[in-house]
Parts: sequence; structure tokens; C-alpha cells
Amino acid sequence: MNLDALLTLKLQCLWALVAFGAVSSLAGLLTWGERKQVSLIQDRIGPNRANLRFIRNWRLFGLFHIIADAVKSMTKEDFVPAGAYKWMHLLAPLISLGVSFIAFAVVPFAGPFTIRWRDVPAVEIPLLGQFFPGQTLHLSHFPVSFQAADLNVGILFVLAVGAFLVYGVLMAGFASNNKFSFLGAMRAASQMFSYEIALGLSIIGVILIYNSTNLSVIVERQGALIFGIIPKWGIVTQPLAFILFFTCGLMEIKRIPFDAPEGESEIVAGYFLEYSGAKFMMFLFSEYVELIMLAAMCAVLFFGGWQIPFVSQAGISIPLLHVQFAWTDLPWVAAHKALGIELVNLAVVLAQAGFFAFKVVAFCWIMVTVRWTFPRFRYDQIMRLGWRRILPLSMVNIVLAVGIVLVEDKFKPVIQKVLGY
Amino acid sequence: MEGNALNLIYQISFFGIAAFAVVAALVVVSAKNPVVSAIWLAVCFIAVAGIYALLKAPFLAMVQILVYAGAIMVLFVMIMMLMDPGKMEAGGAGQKVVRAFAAAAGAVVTVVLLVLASTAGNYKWTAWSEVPVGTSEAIGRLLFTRYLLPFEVLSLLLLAAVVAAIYLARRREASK
Amino acid sequence: MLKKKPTPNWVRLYLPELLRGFYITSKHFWINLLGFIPGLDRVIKKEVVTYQWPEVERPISDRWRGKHRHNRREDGSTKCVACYCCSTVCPAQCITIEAGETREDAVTEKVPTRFDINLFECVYCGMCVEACPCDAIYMDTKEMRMCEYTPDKFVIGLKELLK
Repeated sequence: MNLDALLTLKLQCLWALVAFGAVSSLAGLLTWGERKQVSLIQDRIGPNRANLRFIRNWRLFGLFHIIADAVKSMTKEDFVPAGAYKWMHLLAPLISLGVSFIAFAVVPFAGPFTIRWRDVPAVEIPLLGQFFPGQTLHLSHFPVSFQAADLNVGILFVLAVGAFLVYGVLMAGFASNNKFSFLGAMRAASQMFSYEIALGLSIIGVILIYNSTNLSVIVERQGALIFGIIPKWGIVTQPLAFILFFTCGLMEIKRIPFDAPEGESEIVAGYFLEYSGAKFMMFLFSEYVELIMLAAMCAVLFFGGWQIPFVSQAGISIPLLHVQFAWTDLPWVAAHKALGIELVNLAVVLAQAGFFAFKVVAFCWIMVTVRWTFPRFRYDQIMRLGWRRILPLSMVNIVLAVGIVLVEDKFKPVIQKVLGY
Repeated sequence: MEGNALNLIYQISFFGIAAFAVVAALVVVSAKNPVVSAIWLAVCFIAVAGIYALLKAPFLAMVQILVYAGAIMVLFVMIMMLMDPGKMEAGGAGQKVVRAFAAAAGAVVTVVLLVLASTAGNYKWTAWSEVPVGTSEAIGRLLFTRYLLPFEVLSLLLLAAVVAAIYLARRREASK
Repeated sequence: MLKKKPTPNWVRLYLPELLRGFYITSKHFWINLLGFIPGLDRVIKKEVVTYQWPEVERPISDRWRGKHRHNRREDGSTKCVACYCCSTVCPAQCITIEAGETREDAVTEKVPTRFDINLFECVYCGMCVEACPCDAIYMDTKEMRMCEYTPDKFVIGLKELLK
């Protein structure tokens, strides 16, 4: 292990923390945001009474309800039913919450960034430098990736985490010793493995077109342009796969219209019926983290992740319209040479991260609107939709994807010549 | 120093994960409630996936979790839950023979494993990125070149199983 | 008998209808989000139908019947002469009147010494207002937020009515 590897490791740990913080704060915001959004959809006002008292009538549109809810759930009685499996009853919400966070390890939050400063010899580094005598830290060209783990099998990792999510639900339903909880868990399990196959198959088209299972590579290749003007995002190349993935994803995170596991009108609250206080809050919170996960995956696989159309580290380029603009053309950047380029690159990376965050929030908005628009499917309808509609369609989609790949290979030079770019 | 430190990290993680897998497996066979042991079996699968990951086979590790822990175990647990787990608690005189056979089989497997382990010699861990054998690209290439025939035979076998399943699940209208 | 029409195929396709529902709900969302300025409590789009109560009071019609009040004379005393018309006509029998007398400018007059209205029993029909011969009782306070900690506070007397 050398100094460069150590710094990379440290940055990855730091990034994991940052990602964790960002995701959990967004999930916390969503607990309020969803209620506020549904109230606007239904022409109501929504939660806006919580008040910190130290400034009169300072309510911030009800944002303090997040704190109020947290305090309320923490101080409530933690009820464990008499016939329950005690340790499993405790473990289920922990697993749900813990596992839902893990998948964010492979999500690329922004484009690659290269530090171009200077080489730092070990002597100049305080504390740690003495352990690596005679080495240098190559900061003159040091790539930084905004991804906690650049896994070769990123997509499979996300799918595996998604597959494991059902255990929290199953354990909760089984450990509660309640028939409604039990039914909820059964429904969740049968739904999950009905839709997981279709979920996997719908992603295969994306893997084929971008020729990688690595999420950062997939996002990078979505920066290409079709016909020199359309961004090569997943939604353009694989629209059918997007609809299938989104549907199966909603199923995977047990959200309306597929929330039969917690169907209030039939089985009260389903698998978390016997949970109260902090444990119930954990289930609720993990549901929002899963929602953000699905939003992030939709953005990464189908909406170009952190890609901003036509904008890259080098400049702005639209080949079909013969628009070419390099950042170095800006007089300020040209005047400041290396520092100017570095600052521009940093700005581009920040803009990319912001654009990715925007996409994620937009998808969260869409999912909340979906929840408050559509009614719940009946259980047999869910099964029929999964096995008879979505599964065959996702197989058709694989064939389509193969066709697209072949056509692209054969005709790309021809099209380029015809359109003249 | 570098190689040794890396080796130490790998050794520690390997033995940690391996011990975890063994403990989980022991709970699987000793737990009274079948659903509990099924959940511990899933834990065991994940530990094995961790060992695959240490052995530079990320694809295999992910597939292990996805297929075994994700799909097959969930199916197991669901079926077990359907069959009223309260009545299936282990015990009874008829199982003594089964237990004896299981103990004998376990002893044989342990001896074989010990023999294999003693001949394996000193294994040196290498960094993950250095040997790209377990990636999806490498496995895909192998499946469609060197192991094409076994692969196709396997898929034919699966097809036969699917056809059989459809035949069994089909509604028998003649018997009605 | 109404004949059931077969569902058209584009509805059976489900997705277009989903998108239509999505359009409706998101339209409501954006109108309500953009049509109202929270800090100023001002509605800038006429499609916004929600009142930001209690920050913004809801307009109440003049005919709206709420908590009762007594009309006063110029000297501040009640116009009521304890004729018992209101308590007689009251269908909920929530008005309790006790009559007494007073000497004002050497004229003896009948006045209520007690005039209690039980707001829990009152059905807010407005018949007492119709029946009153001397224009004493009214229900036009437009007060709709009546909150107290004990139920006996809801039996209001002369003092409360003359406020």
C-alpha cells in the first residue's frame, strides 16, 4: 500500500460518509416533503403548525415537523408483542434500514475529477508521512472519483441489495406473531421474487447498449451524442426498458400502486403492524431511502446520471450544429492557465453533482405524485401484471436492445457521413 | 512491508468471514424453528459471497447473493411460512437414524476438507484489481468459448425443468 | 336499463389513463405551489381555492348564523325585555330567561336578570332572532372558533352576550 492508494481509500471513506449524510437528510426531508406535496395535490395546506417557539410564528412551512416526528417516535413506548421472536423483532427494522443504505456505495454522484497540483514528498505530510519514508504523493495528476466503491459489477450489486431488502420485511412479518403481519410478509415475498426477474431482465438491455456492468462506465458512455445532437441517455435508447424498470422498481420498494404488503384496507398495516416508536420510524425511513435509491438508479441508468447534455470537462460541443466551445477559450481561463482550468473543472464537477441531485429529486417528486394518483392493485392483478405482461415485455426488450446494438455498429459511420459532422 | 500489510488484512478478513459462515451454518442445523434456520442459511450464503469477493470474483459474489440469498432462500422461507412453522419443530424418535447419517456425512466432509487444506500450502493474497478473472467480462468470455458446450447443455436441462414445471402446474381438465 | 359500454382499447392499455391521472394531480400541485406566496399570504392565481386558514380568514356571508349577541341601547344596557318569545320558539330549548324589574327615570321596566344560552344545545336555527319583537338578539358575530377548556364555559350569560 502506498501513499496514493491510502489517499484514495481515505477519499472513498469520506465520500461514503458524505453520500450517507446527503441521502439520509434527503430521506428526512422527504418525510415532510411527501406530506406537503400530497396536501398541495389535494388542495390542502398540509403540516405547517410545528413551531420552535423561540422565534414567534417562525414555522418554515412546517419543516420543524421532521424534528417533532423524530422526538415523538423516540419517546413513544417500544412495544414488543407477547408471542414475538424478540431478537428477530429487533433485527428486522435494523436490517431494513441498514441494507437500504448500502446500495448507494456504487452510485456515481459526479464525474471524475483530476487534481493537478504538484507532487508532495512524504516528509511534508504531517503525522502520516513518517510511515512512508522516501515516497511521494502524486498530486500532480491525481484522479478523484465521486463514488464510494467503483465496483466492476455495480448493477448486480444494486440488484443483490434489492433482493436482500425483502429479508427485513420477511423477518418483521414472521417475528411479530400476528396474522396480518404474516400475510403482509408473504405478499411482500411473493411479489418481490415475481418482479425481481423482470427487474434484472429490463436492465440487461442497458448493459448491452453501454457494454458494461460498471455504473460509472455506463454513466460516462451516456455522455455520447446520437446523430450529434441527441444525448445518448438510456431513456432515448431504451424507452421500454425504462417503463419496465420503473414499474418493477416501484414494486421492489413496495410503493403504491404495488403496496399490497401493507395494504391498509385489508391487512391493517401489513408487516410493520406490530411496530411502534423508533422501530416503526426505522421502517418508514428505510422506505424513503429505498425511494431515493430507485430515483438514483433511474437517473443513473436512464437519464445520464451526472451527465449534463453537451457539457463536459473540455467544453460545450454539439457536433451536428457545429457548435464547439472549449473552456480554455474563455479569456479568464486562458489568462490563469493551470489554475483557471482546475477551477473550471471543479465548477463543472459541482454542476454535474447538482444536476444529478436535481434528477434524483425530480424522480422522488414523480414517485410521490404516482403514489397519490394511482389506486392500489389487487394482489392477483399484481401477479398477472408481473408474470404475463412485464416479464415477456422485458424479454422482447432484450431482443430490441440487441437489434439497436447491431444497427449502431453497422450504420454509425454512414449516418455520420450523411449528416456531415 | 506493503505486501505483508495487505496480506494481513486479507488474512484477517478471510478468517473473520469464514468463522462467521461456519457459525451461521451451525445455527442453521441446530435451530429448532425451520424459519430461523432458513434465515441463518441466508446469512451463511452472504458470508460465502464475501469469501468469493475476497477471492477476486465479484461477479460470482453478487450472483451468489442475488440468486441464493435473494431468490431461492426467499422462496424457501415463504413455502415454510405457508406450511405453519409451529408444527414443524424438530424432534421425535424417527429422526434418530437421520441424525446419525448426517453426523457421519459431516465427519467425512470434514476429513476431506482437512486433507485438502493441508495440501493447499501457503496461499498469497494479491490485490483485487491485479487479477481480473472474476469479472463479468472474463466469465462471459469463458462461458462462450471454452465452456460453451457445458453451458448449452445446462440451459437445455433448465429448459426441460421449465417444461416439466409447466406440465405439473397445468390445470387438468380431463380429471374434472 | 343503462347498457354498459365495452371499455375502449386505449383505456385497456392502461398507460395513457395513468398519464392522464398523473397530469391532473401534478396540475393541482403546480397551481397550488406557484399560485400562492407563503410569506405574504397572497394568492396570485385565481385557480387556487385553498384558504390559508387560520392565517387568512375565510370570508363569511352576512347571513351566516354564529354565536349570539344582544343589541344594546344607547346607555349600554340590553334591549331585551324578557318577553320569553325566543325561549318559547327555540326548538332546542337552550335559552333560560329569568325576568326582573328595574327603575329607570321613574319608569318600571321588565329586564332579564338572567339570560343563558347553552351553545352545546343550540342548533343555530336563527328562530330566536326571527321571534324577537324588540330587535334584541342577533347571531351575526361571525365567530366560529369557540374553544374552551371546560364545558360550563359554553353556557353564555348576559355579560358574554353584551360584549
